[in-house]
Order: sequence, then C-alpha cells, then structure tokens
Amino acid sequence: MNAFVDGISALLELNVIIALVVGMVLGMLVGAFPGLTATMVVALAAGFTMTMEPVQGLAVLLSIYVAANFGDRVPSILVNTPGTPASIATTLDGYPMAKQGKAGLALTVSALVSAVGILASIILFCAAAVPIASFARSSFKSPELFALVVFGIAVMIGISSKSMIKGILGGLIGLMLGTVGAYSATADQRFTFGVLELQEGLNFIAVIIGLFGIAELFDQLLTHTKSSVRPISSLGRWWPNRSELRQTGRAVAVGGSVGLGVGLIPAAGGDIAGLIGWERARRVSKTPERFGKGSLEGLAAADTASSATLGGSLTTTMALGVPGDSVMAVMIGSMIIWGIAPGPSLFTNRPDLVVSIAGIMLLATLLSLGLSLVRMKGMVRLLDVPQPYLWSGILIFCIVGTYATTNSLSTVLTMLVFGVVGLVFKRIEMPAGPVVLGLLLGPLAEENLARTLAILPTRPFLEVVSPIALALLALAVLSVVVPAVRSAMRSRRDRGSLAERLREEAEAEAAEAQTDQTDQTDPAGATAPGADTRRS
Amino acid sequence: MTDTAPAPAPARRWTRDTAMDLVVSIALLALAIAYLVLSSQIELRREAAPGQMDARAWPIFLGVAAVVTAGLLVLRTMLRGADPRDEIETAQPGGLLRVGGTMAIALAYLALWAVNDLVLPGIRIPVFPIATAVAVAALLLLYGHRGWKGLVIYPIALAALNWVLFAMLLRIPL
Repeated sequence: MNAFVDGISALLELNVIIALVVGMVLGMLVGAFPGLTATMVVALAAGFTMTMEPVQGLAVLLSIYVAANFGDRVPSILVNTPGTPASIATTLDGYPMAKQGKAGLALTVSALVSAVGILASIILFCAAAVPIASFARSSFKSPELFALVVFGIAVMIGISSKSMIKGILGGLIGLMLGTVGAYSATADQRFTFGVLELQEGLNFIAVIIGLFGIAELFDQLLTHTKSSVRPISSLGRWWPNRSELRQTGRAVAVGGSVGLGVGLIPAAGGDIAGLIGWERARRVSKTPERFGKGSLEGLAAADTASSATLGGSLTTTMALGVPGDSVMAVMIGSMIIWGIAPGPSLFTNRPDLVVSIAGIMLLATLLSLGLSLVRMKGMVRLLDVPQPYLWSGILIFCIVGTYATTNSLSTVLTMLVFGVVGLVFKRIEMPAGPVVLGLLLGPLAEENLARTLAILPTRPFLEVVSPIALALLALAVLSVVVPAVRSAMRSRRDRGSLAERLREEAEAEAAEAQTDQTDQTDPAGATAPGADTRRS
Repeated sequence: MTDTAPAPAPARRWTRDTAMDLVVSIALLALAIAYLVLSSQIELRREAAPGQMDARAWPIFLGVAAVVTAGLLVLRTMLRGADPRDEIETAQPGGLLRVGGTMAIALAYLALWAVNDLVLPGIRIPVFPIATAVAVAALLLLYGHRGWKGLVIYPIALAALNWVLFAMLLRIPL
C-alpha cells in the first residue's frame, strides 16, 4: 500500500505534471513529422532530463514514447507516409480511407484504438512486471544474466538485420565500444589512450544521439527530394457510428493480442506488431477482401497491435533490463544515469516505480487521446513546416542537448563522429540497434561472464549453468541462425530483415486488393500505394 | 516455353554499392585487427588466476570474433557483391554537399562557442546565443532557404529558446 501511495504521490508534484505535458506535446510533434522517430527524440530528450529527478525524467521520456504513437498516425493517413516506423501498417488502410473522403473517421478511430491498445498494455505491465522481475530475481544468477544479455542482442540482430553478418558485426562493434574505459573489477585502463574523458567509457547519450539522431538527419540531407504529395485536405466526418465501432471489435481484439505478445519479445517493436496484427485480422475477418482498400477493421487492427506493444516492451525493459525496443534502450541509458538500473532487482528496491510508470503511461495516453481528438485539424498544418527549419532545429538541439550531459564540447564531437558512423552504417544497411545494445549491455555481459567463470571450477557445470541459461543461449543461437538459413534459401532480391519482409508482404497484398478495386471501378488503370513508406 | 524458362543468372558486376560495402568492410576488418592488437597490449596491474578473466580476456575474445566476422564480410562482398539496396533511398545531387556543409558549420559553431564571452566595461556579452543564431542562419542558407524573415527571425528565436531552456531553466553553463 505504501508503494502505491508513494508512486501516486510522486506523480502529483507540479514539476512532474509539467514534464508530462511537455513530453506529450513533444511526442505528438515528433510523431506528426515524418522522419523524426521516437527513438531519435527520446535520445535527444535524454540530454535535457539528465538533471531531473527520476520520476520527472521518466514523465518526459515515457510521455514522448506514448504520444508519438498517436501523432505518427496523422501523416500515415493523410500523406501515406508513416510518421514513425510503428505506423507503417496504418498506411495500408488509413490512406485509402482518406482518399475515399473518410480521413476524419480514420484519424478518430486510429486515436481511439491506439488508446485501447496502450491501456491494455499498461494492464499487462502492471500484472506481469513484478512477477517476471521476482522470478528473474530468484532464478537469474550470473550465468543466466549473461545468457539473457546474449539473447537480447541476438534477437535484436535477428529482427533488425537484413544481413546476419552485418548484424553480428554491429553487435560486436557495440560490445567492443563497451570495453572502453576502466575495467570494473580491477580498474585497469582499456583503450583510453591517456584521455581523461574516456576513463568512464564512451558517453552513451552522445553515441545514441549520434547513431539515431544525427545519422537520421544526415541521411535525410543526403536523400531529400522535394515531395509533390500534398496532405489530403477533405477530412469528412469525424465520429464513427455504432455499427462502425462494432465492426472494429474483432479486429481490435486480434490486433491487441498480437501487440501484447510481440511487445514481450525483446527488440520487436510496433512496426512488426502492426503488420502481423493487420495480417491476422484479415484472416479472421468476415470481409477480408476489403483489407487494403480502406477497411476500418484493417486500420483498427494495425493501430491496436502497434500500440499494444508499449507495455510489453516496458515490461522486459524494467523487469529484465533487456530493452523491448530501441526507445527502451535509450531509456535504460537515462535510467542508469539517474542511478536506477532496470533489471530484476529494480522493483524490489523501488516498488513505487511500477505505480509511477503505470500512472505516467495512463495519464499520457488519456491526455494524448484528448489532444488527438481535439487538435487533429491543427496537426495537419504541421505537415507543411519547411524542412530547413526542422533540420537546423534538430541539429542545434542535438548539439546543445549533448553538451548538457557533460558540459564538455568533446562530448559533442563524439556525437558528430558517431553521426557520421551511423550514416555510413545506414548506407550499407548495418543496423544501429545491435550496436547500441552491445554498448549498453556489454559491461553487464562481461561482468557476469567473469563471475560465472570464477565459479565454474569450484562446482559441477550443470549446477552453475542452469537449464534457463542453456535455453536462453540456445534461443540466442536460433534467433540468429534461423533467419540466416531462411535468408540463404531465398533469392538475393527477396532478402530483408523480418520487419522489411513483413512490410513487403502486407504492402503487396494491399496493393493487390487496391488494384482489384480500381479494376472494378476504373478499368483504365490503378495506382499502387505505399510509394513513400520508406521515409520513416 | 519462354515464359517458364529460368532467366540467365546476371553477371556479377562491381557496382557502387559493392565498392562501398567493400571499402567499409575492409575498414572494419582493419579496425578489428587494430582492436585485437591493442587488446593484447592492455597493461594489467595483476594477472588473473588460471581459468579466470582479466582485463584483456573479454576484449581479446571480442577482437577475434570481430576479425573473423569482418573477414567473412570482406570475402562475401568480394565473391557475391553487395546485397540489393531496396530499402535505401538514393543519394540526391547536392546531398553530399548538404551533409559536408552541415558538418563544417557544426564544427565552426563548436569552435565559435568555445570562445570566451566578450567582456566589455560594465557588460558581459555571451557568445553562445550569437554563435547559435549565426549557425542556424548559415544552415538555412545551405539548405536553400532564402526568405529574409526566416533567415533573421527563426535563428534569433531558436537561439533565444535554447538560451532560456538550457542556460536559464536548466542552469547549464553554456
């Protein structure tokens, strides 16, 4: 009871409420601008929140995370361009609905089902976080923790990499970067080259802002072309009628279940869940032929599924210390700076945090829903903001935000260097996720491996290394080997990361459905959708 | 018959993507080798007991794994070329100039920022807001923005926002 009261009372402070509102507005803006991802802005905000109290900082970061899930649906529906990767599946039915004059209805239903998905995932977080953490705390010793880290990095490699070799190399580069600084057990200096700033290791915030923020900015600068696509201005009616709401029920249930499950898999985020949810809902729908042609069910399934991953990601992050997605990887870095390390012992040491986190998520969801329903028309205008303003603003905020973490310009130089490295990685399709996870979790892996090796000579192998550790290591191997074997069996052109393949399949089905529809109504020709879905 | 006949395998060509992949993978291999060499030279205060890990063990393990993986990547790129870049948008003319220019302006901004505040009799003029406004205006010019209002008002507003947020509210010594 005390933990509940403590958790709630921490939320009632004025500075926490202000932080929540600021984060929510930022998140909505981030979502609405194609090209800005939640990871990028949470990384940037990490620089601002360094000096804050943990609950206040969590209020900023979590509300960005939640609100971006609402804002990113606007460009998906109105210009066929996902605001963030999580809304890729929204374009499949959202944009066709907008073309049919139902943009207002699509925006409202999207906001409503996103709220349902996030609320369901908060319930999952409240129900599962403490039991999972308790189980991990009692069962996870050094070998299991080492295996868990390896598993987390392997899953990230398996999901995000088009080429397994590049993904593994990315993970290894992250782990290698994690060895810079003093070795925790003996204080021996490694790769510091006499530079004082390197003794505590590379600045994590500078690296992630470089890899996710600056690299994305540079990529946009490199590839930008003037778009002739204009937002759809005729929004039509806003509120769904009762039969339309009833129609979405099954899709919401299917999408929600998919999202809750996918969210619990480390490194799998809303983009994958949205596409799987859309596909599953199509299979159980009474009108599967409407999917991809502007189906309310398709839209509802995709948005519920992608939103419902939030609680699962949060659960694995907080209870196990393994980031559920890239936003959570950034958040772990911030939490470590605040002096609270996510992992099995977090909720034992700070049970009030479960309540505070759930409360922040709940408030951010309800406020974002309210703002979405009230300000949708205003947000459409954001799509007209000139890119030069955005680019210059992002760069300056990245620079000043990074400087704020250490008050040293050398940290900003580190960020710029990793921005260039991130751009090169992006151009050769080497994923940044495994690099960040390796950097973040490398010291933990090394520490637990060293402890395991120290115990091993004293006791039988199977007494030290439990079946849980062996199972996690086996799963880690499988999560890299299985996609690699599948990829080898495909033709070279058909290869891609899991998310890419799912997206291509769903887009192909949606395009087929739209072509059928256009053939029926306009035999002269058809226009395939999804032309601009890569911009996120 | 011709519809079902398998298409002839395309001849392997040295595309720009392959060249880029090869350059990057060779650079990564060189870095991995350098890392491995440096790992073996880490100075130890005390040796670890047999079978246990000292400060060198983990980096050496990672170095060996990275050399093997980067070597495989070089080999694969040489034998099979780069994977198709379906998901990567093409670099546009002027794109590289925008990136290079942005980097140059960012470095110049840092150099200007590092200059001490101007102290005149009775007044101290902070360099940060001036440097920020100049850098933003330069960036807007680089990105093709030519309207004078945007080139004046937006940089000043952004510099002021950063000053208020970081220097006044968060008390960061800019």
